[in-house]
Amino acid sequence: MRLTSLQMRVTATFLGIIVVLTVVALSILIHARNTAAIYENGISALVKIADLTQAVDEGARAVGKLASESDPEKATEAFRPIEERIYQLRELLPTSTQHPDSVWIMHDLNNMANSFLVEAGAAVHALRRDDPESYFKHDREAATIAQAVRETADRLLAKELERYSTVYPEVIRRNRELQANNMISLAALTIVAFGFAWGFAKSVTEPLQDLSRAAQRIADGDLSGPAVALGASSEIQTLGYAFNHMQNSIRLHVTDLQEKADLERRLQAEELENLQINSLLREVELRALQSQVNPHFLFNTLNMVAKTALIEGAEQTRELMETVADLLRYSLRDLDRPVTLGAELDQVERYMTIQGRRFGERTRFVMNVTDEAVLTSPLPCLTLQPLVENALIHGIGNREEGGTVTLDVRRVSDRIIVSISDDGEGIQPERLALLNEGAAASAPGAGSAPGGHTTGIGIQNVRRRLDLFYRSDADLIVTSTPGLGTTITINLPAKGGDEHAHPRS
Amino acid sequence: MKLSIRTIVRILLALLLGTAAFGLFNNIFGVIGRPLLAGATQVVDTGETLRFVIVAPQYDHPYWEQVRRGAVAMGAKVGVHVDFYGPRRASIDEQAQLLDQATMAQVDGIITQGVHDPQIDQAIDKAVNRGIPVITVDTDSPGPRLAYVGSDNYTAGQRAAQDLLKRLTGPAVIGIIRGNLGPEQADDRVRGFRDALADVPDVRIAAVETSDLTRTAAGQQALKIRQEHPDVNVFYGTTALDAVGVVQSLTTEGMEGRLMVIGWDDVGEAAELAGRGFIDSVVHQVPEEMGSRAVTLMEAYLRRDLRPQPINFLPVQLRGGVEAK
Repeated sequence: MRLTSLQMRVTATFLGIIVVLTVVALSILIHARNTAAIYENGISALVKIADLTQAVDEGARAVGKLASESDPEKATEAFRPIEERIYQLRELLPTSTQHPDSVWIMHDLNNMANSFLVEAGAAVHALRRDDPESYFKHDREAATIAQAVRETADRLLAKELERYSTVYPEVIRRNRELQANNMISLAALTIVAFGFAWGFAKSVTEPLQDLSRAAQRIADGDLSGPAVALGASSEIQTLGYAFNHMQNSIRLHVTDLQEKADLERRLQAEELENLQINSLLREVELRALQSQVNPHFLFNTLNMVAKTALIEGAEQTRELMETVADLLRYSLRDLDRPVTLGAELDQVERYMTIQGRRFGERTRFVMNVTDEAVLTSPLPCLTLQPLVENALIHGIGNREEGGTVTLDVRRVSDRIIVSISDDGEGIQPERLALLNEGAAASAPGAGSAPGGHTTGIGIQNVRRRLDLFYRSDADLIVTSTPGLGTTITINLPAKGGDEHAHPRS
Repeated sequence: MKLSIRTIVRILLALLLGTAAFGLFNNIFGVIGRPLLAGATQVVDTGETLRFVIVAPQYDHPYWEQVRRGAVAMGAKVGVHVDFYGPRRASIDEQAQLLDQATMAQVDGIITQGVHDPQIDQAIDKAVNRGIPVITVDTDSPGPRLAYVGSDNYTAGQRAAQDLLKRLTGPAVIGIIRGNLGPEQADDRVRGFRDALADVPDVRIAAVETSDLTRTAAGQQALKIRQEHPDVNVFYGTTALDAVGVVQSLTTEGMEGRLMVIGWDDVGEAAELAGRGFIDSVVHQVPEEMGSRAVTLMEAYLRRDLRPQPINFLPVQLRGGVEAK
């Protein structure tokens, strides 16, 4: 089992606490036992000394009373048990003392008891010999010895107690020391145990809290969170490691899925875009075809009329015819192919020439090109003509007094600004908002007014083709003041045509 | 070095743990490990050791203290335990009682002062009858005792008298304070002194008083003699305390050094007073030698059965006051 494992830590901590408590309890117990043993030994020794003294005392009294006994045999019998007892007690006297001076006093006591037995024996013997004089002498002597025994025993007890009197304060002192030691140890242990418990709880709960937070986060769908910290204990470490591993696996899976979904979405979007482009172009084509019933037939007819006009000497008619023919040719070319800004401007000029003949002095057309270099910029086909047409038809067409259409081309740093303005009626704000809000006119041609005089290609159509062509790098903004006129501004990138690949090429 | 809180807490915990361990260590080795009664037990097994008891006429007495010192020192050399008994105040009764107790306690040998007193003699008789040899020191009391070790008191008394005569320039009236407890007739120190002066004209002994071996009593007796016999110009004290008591009594009247004082034993205060010239001459004995010799003789008798000479005199010197140390 590793040292960091929870089980090991808990076991070690509790073991430590148990050991300390055991030592505390045992030390108190052993001290109490030591103390008790000292007193027990001491008291038992003192009791033996006192017993012997008492026995000798009784013996002396017994010897004194023997004289009143009429039968000497009985007297002897009466004395025998006392004699026996003194013998026994002498044997039982402690073999050791506590005070160094007591050794010889103990010795004396024993010998005095012996002397007493000798004198007492002599007294009894004298009684049996019926020698009262000798009896009284020995009796008196025995009494003296008994007295000496008592005094000696007192001296011995005093000496021994003197020794114990030094023990008692020592016992008290040690009690106090023991208590202080135990108090300090227990206090320290309490703090340490608290510290361990705190650290232990922290080491377990903190990683678990981290883990549960991380789990909640994952449950909420957030897989990007950091890996959880691995705790200090091996069990928690394993848990954290497994969790982190799981989180990584899930994250990888989800990323995979997301990439696949992205890919699919992109494919779908591309398809949709292609479809839109196709439909827009088809619309332009359709409109063109609608406006020129049989363009090739018309074109050939116009050429033939132009030649007839030349033969007849009608110079103006011929020029007009040729212009119409050019206009028609331009409209009949491959609409997918981009054209240059110059070509588009030529087309606008042709258109205006024809319309100028139609409206006469009522319309004026002004074109300003400040930078010839921009004329080579690529542009989707039929971009400007519908806008000029709009300006002419909606801006001036309904006004008796006519008006002016101005086309400005200028370059601002790397942008080309093309603005087409008229001084006609202007557009109502509601409608203007719709025009500028590209999405509002989602239906192709929604912005165009029905009328056989126009190609019918609306502003929205132009805007969307610009978006597709320049990949949203171009703007088309309509500004208008009702009664004063309308301006359509196109903001294009002024880059070489090759840099903008047509989506279909 | 940067100490994180964690490190500090760990160090603190380690310190606390150390404290706890120290407390417990103290408990085990400091409190319960040490015996409560250090070096306590004295085994009552006397083995080959003999035990002699000195019964002095008085417990606190500088002279007897020297006897004891000599005896104990010799005892330590030859394997004899020597106990020293004595009444707190000089008393024949108590001395006899102590002798009896030693006999009851069946000691191996008794060393005591031979006082010519029936109680003491009886006690000595009893001890000898119980098989305990008795050696008398300082003063002999002929009887069943094994031997006497000490000065030749009669001769020493004579020498003190002769010394006095040498110092005398005119007639002398002498007061004697004697410390020994026996009867005056048996006091050799007085007897020798008196006999030596018996035929000398112009020298007479006015009074002999007993001091009971206390210097206060000695002083009072000296005062009493001077009141009864104002012409006394010489004092003779037969123990160390007697001469000291006399000088102290004289000092209270500013008479120290004016009267001639002859004493015994230049021990303790007596030696000091002699040195200052208040005691004119002393009989110098060898109490330590008495103690050690008594032990030696007794030990030889008990262990090797060598019966000593009954009388063993030790040398005595007469020292003039200033020369006595």
